[in-house]
Amino acid sequence: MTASRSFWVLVALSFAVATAVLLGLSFGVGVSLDAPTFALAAACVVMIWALRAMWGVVVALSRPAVETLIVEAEMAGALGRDSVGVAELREEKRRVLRAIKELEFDHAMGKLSDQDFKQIGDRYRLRAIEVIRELEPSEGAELHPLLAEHLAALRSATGKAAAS
Amino acid sequence: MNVATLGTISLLVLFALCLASIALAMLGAHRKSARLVEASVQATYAVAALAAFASSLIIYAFLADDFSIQYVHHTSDSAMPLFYKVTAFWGGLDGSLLFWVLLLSVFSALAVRANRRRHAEMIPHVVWLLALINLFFIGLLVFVKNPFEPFILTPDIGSNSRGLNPLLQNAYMVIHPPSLYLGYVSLAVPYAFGMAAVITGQVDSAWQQSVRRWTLFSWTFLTLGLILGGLWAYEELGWGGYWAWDPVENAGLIPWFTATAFLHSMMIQERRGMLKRWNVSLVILSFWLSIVGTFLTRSGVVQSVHAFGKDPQLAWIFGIFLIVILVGSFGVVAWRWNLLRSRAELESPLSREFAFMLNNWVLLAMAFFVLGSTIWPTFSEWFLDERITIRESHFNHYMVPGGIALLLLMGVGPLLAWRRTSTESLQRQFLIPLIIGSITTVVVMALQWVWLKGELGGEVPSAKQLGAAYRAHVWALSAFGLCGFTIATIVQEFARGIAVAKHNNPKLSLLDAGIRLLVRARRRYGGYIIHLGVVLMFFGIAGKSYGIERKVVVKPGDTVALGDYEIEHLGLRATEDWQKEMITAELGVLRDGQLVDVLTPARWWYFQLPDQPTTEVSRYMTVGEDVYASMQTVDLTTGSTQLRLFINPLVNWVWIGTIVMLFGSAICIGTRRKQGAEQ
Repeated sequence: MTASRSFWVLVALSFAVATAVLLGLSFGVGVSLDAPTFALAAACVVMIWALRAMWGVVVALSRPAVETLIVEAEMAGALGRDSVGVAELREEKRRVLRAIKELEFDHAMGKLSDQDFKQIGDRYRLRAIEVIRELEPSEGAELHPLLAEHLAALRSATGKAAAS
Repeated sequence: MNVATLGTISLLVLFALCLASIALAMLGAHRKSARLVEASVQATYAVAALAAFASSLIIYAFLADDFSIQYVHHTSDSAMPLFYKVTAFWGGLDGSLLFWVLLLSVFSALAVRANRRRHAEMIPHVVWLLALINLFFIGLLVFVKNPFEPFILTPDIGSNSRGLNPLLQNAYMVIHPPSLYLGYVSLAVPYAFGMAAVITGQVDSAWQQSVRRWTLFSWTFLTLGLILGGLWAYEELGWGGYWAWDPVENAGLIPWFTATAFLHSMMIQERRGMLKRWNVSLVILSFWLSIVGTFLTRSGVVQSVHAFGKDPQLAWIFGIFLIVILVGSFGVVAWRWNLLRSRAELESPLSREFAFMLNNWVLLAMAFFVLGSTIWPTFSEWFLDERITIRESHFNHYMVPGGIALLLLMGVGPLLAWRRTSTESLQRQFLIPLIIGSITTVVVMALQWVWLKGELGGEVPSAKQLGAAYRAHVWALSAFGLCGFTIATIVQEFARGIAVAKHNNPKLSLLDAGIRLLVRARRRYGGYIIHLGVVLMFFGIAGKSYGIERKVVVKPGDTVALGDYEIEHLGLRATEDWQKEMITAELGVLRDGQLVDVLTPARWWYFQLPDQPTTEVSRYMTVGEDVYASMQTVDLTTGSTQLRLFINPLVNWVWIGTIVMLFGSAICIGTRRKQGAEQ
């Protein structure tokens, strides 16, 4: 069962329980359907949610070993790499590209002289090229091995075609 | 099993679950174990659901009039309307702490859910940090202030329950505390992400993108809470004003200053890679100050009409918690000091980043000034054995110039470019705002001349009289001039932005270009709309300088002059309903001899608290001013009524400005997908 489907099943179940509590109290015990009764039904629904969430902790802790290993391998992939350095470079790339856009907008609005725009813009563009070059190897390394192999084959095929 | 027992058990389970969440997240982070981290995340969700369950139980107890629970007995009574019974949940100290736990648990769950994939490495640290804060408050509930605490004996307690304070049975008071709580509590999320970023060494601006909307959310609700508190004071307390630097009002304002500073300074880190240490320090301070605010309100160390009362035990517990947060957080920052160095330097003082830095310094100075002045009476009592009272005038003396400096920076900042601004550009950018600002100042000075002439009965004022009048209103005149300057800046920014959008796509109409600008660069132009709201608020606040106040004792049939109006006492009415006795005065408001409105200020005596009558204010509202009346005392045998009458010029612009600010915030908070397209 997918996560979203199980969520909707839980929603439906809680409303069913709330309705059952209200009907039970009304017809079974003869309680009038006033504000405290509705509050009690709501508390029952929330209790089901709380129990479901606590069950989630147990499920997570008792996840089958193979499944955990797969998730842990993915996580180790995310954590183990020199992620801080790459993340900083990506962040800088994003920041520099955004700064260039901003500079163009400020120039178009007349906040920067042509000379300043050219001087600052050139510096940003140079930095953007440097950062992208630094990032290229690590971004390539992120590709799935099969995809990297496929790309390499494509490149060599393109190279041969160009040579012939 | 009764509600009290079930509630107490749910709190105990909540405490255990929170502890488990901390242990799982710490172990998960240490061992890099996905299973443990996932379990800690699930525990975060479970804590939120369980906190909701405990809250629903206490609401049920209120609705069912379960007076066997002490908290319900103290804050509710069976005759109270249903609406106020629900809001009594957070009306007292114990319930407000449970409400705090509910909000923090839900926010923690939402923040973790939204960011668990994006910041996988940070999440376990975020989880344990948020859970640790939550554990403190749950611990308070379990060991010190259990809202489910039952009476040991069950006497006939339903008959003499105290009920919610009548002053709090007001629509603004229903929204005001939750708004402030939302603002306070949500500041824990930026704090947790900031600390997690420092602990994991991911100190680039990525963590700020995850918390920017949370900080805006906190800021918006703090703003709303503060303004609603002001509006409540204006309509309920009857002293003609909305802000008196009350310690509890200040407690909400102090983190508002630092959150505002952070919202500006994070832009410098995003764009320039500067101020990493500063930004982390600001999130720590904002969170710390939100706990200080909670401490001030609940410990009784400050004297305020809004405080929950004295509680030395809570004061000690909160004091220790505050020290732990401060030492622990800045200890981590010191550990990562080198990693937090800036990647760029300030290139020119004529740059937007420098204007933002000035704005940060002013905001921080204001925050610490208000904090120092708020707690100084308590410190003086502890260390000097004498309680020194700090008056409203002391705050105004320093805060008014600070506010004017902020208004100036708000007008100047957007005109400057990032990195540096050339001289030609400066001339081009500043010309129109400066002209408009100067014209506004001259017009206001001319209006003051006309007003003074009217005061002198048509006689032309001498230079000396005019000089004295200008000196008396120098800050108001500066504020009006700067309002003109800043509005011109905002309009110019919109106009030039629209011109660029139209230049890039000539087919666009003006309206389309404006909407496109707002949608594509929500953050920048949403921010300008917030600035516009702030300017309108300053406009309203500056108007207070020209206010008129009169205290009069009148009898039915008497008429008194109040500025351009005359107030005629038309008579008194004594009425009663199931909850209270009411005495209402009917006051005719006359302008040029014509009756324009009838005001009905009143005094209400609630049966449950007959010795604490409430003041019901009545206002004649216009765009330009309020005619405001409150009844102080009344003698029913002679009809002699003591009234406080006010003319409050431009006061309604404060509320209009707030609505504009909230609209701007909504636009800014909506930003996410189009970040790359932002200007």
